[in-house]
Amino acid sequence: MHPATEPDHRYWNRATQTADRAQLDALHLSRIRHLVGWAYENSPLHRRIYDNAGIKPGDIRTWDDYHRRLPFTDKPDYTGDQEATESGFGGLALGQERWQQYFHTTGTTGRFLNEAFTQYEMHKAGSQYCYGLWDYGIRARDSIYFCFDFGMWIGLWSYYWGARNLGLTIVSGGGVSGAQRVRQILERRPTIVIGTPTYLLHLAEIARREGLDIRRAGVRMLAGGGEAGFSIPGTRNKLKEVWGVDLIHDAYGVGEALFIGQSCKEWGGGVHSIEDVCHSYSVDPDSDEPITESGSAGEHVITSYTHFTQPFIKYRTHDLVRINEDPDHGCGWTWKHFPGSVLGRTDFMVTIRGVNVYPTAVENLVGEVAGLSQHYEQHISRVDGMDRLLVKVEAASESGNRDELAACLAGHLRDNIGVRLEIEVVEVGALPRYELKTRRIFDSRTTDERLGAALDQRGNPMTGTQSE
Amino acid sequence: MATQSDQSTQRTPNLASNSLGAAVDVQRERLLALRGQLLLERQRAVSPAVARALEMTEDYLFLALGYLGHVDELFPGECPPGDP
Repeated sequence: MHPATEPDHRYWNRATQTADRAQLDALHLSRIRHLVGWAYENSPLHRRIYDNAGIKPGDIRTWDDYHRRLPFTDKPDYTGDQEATESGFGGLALGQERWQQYFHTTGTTGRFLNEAFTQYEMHKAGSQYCYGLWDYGIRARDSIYFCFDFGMWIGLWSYYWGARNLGLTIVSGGGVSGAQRVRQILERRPTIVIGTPTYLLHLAEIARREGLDIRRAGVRMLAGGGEAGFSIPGTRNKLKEVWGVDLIHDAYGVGEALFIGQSCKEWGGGVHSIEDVCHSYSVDPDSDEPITESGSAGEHVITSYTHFTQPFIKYRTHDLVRINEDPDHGCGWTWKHFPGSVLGRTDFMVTIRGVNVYPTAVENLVGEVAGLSQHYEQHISRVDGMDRLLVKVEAASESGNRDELAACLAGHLRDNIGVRLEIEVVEVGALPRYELKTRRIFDSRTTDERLGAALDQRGNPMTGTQSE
Repeated sequence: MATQSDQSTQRTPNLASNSLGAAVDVQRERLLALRGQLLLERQRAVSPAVARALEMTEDYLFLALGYLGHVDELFPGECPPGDP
C-alpha cells in the first residue's frame, strides 16, 4: 500500500509549473527529439523538409542542433501541402481513422488552414487552459458561459475542452441575440463569461441600452482571447468596471497550437508559455538566430506537444514577443513569460515616413486615451509608393469634442511611436461589432504594393529610427 | 539584438534531469504499471462498449502521465499494441 499523498492545491501541476529551467529544458529536448523522429517517419511533408535540408532525426541531439540545423516550418508549408494532397489537410502524420474533429484557423492571414485533431489531442489542448483558470481560483463546478455559436473555429472548441478538463459547468450562449445573452447571463449567473474583449464590452453596452445591470449577474471572471484587449490596462479596467468583475484572464493563442499562453492570477502584464504543451523561443526575424537577452523582441517559434495529426515543429508564428525566461512577479510559475503578450507581427508592419509602425502597438496606445472607446479600426493604404495608416476610433460618448479627441490621440501616438498618423474620431456606435475575432485591420494595398513595402523596409537603413 | 552564443546552445539532454522529484517519479511509475493493465484489459474487452470506454480511459491516464513528465511516448497509441 502506498500512503496517500496530500495533493498540492496551489498549482494545477506544481511538478512542472515550478520546475527549474534545467529540468524543463531537459523535458523539452527529449520531447522535441522524439517528435522530430516521429514526424520524419510519419509525415511526408516533414520528411521532405528535412531531406531537403540534409537532416536526419538522429542529427538533432542538442539545443544548438535544434536552433541552427533543424529547418523552420511555416504556414505556407502546410497550406501548400493541403492544396497538393487529396486529403485537403497539410502536414498529416496520422490517418483519418484516428481523427475526431475537423477545424480551421480564423484565416487572419488570408488563408484558412485546415486542422484535424484526435480525441486525445483535444483533451491535451484543453488542458492548457486549466493552469491559468486554476491559478485564478476557478474550480470544478464553477460555471462558464460561452458567448458564441460553435462553428469551425478551433479556438472556441479548445476552450470548451478546457472547461471539460477542469470540470466546469458549461452554459452555451449559442443561437441567441446579444440581448438574450445578457438575460441568460443575469439568469444563470455564471462564474466566468468567455468572449473577445470587444464583444464583452459590446454586451455591456447592450445591457445598458436594455436597462439591465450586467453587474448584478455576479460574474467573477472575464476570459477569452483573440485580441490584444485583455493585455491592455485601459481595456482591462474598462471591462472590470462595466462588468463589476475583479478577475480578467488573458490567453494567447496560435491557431496551429491553440492557446499556448495563459495569464496567471498575478498577471504580470502578460502571459506564461504553457510549457507542458509547447516549447517556445524567439529568433531575430532577419538572422534567425535565437534571442536570449530578456526584453528583446523577437519572432515567436514553437513546437507543439498537443498536435500530432499535423505536427508543428520549430514553427514560425510570425508573432513578435518578448520572452522573460526567469519571471518573478509573485506567482511562483517558472514557465517563460511574455510581457505584453503579443507585441505585433513580423509579417505585418507598415512604414510611415520611415518609421516602422506595428498595428498592435497602435492598438495598445488607442486604449490609453481618455474619452475614446475601445472600438477602432486601422486602414492601411499605399499612395504614391508610400504606406499610409488611418486610425478610426469611436468617441466614448456623444458629448466628447471629436476634433479635440483626434488631436489628443495623434499627439499620444506621435509621442510613443515617433510619427503622426491620420486620425478620424467617429460617433458612438459608428463602427461594426463582431462576435468572434474583431476585424480591426483593413489593408487595401495590392500584393505588389505590400511586396514593395516589405522590400523598402528591408532596404531602408533609416527604418525605425527616423522621426517625422 | 542579442542572440544566443554557440556555447550556451551546446547543452545536451541529460536524461537523469528529466526527473521531477521522487514523489512525481514514483507516481509516474505506478501509473505506467496501471496503464499496462489497462491496455491488457482493452485487448480482452468483452464488448465494443467496454473497449471504447477503456480507450477513453487511456486518454485521461496519458494526460496524467504527461503532467508527470512522461516523455517516452508522444500520445496514446503512438506505438502499435505489442510494441515495446
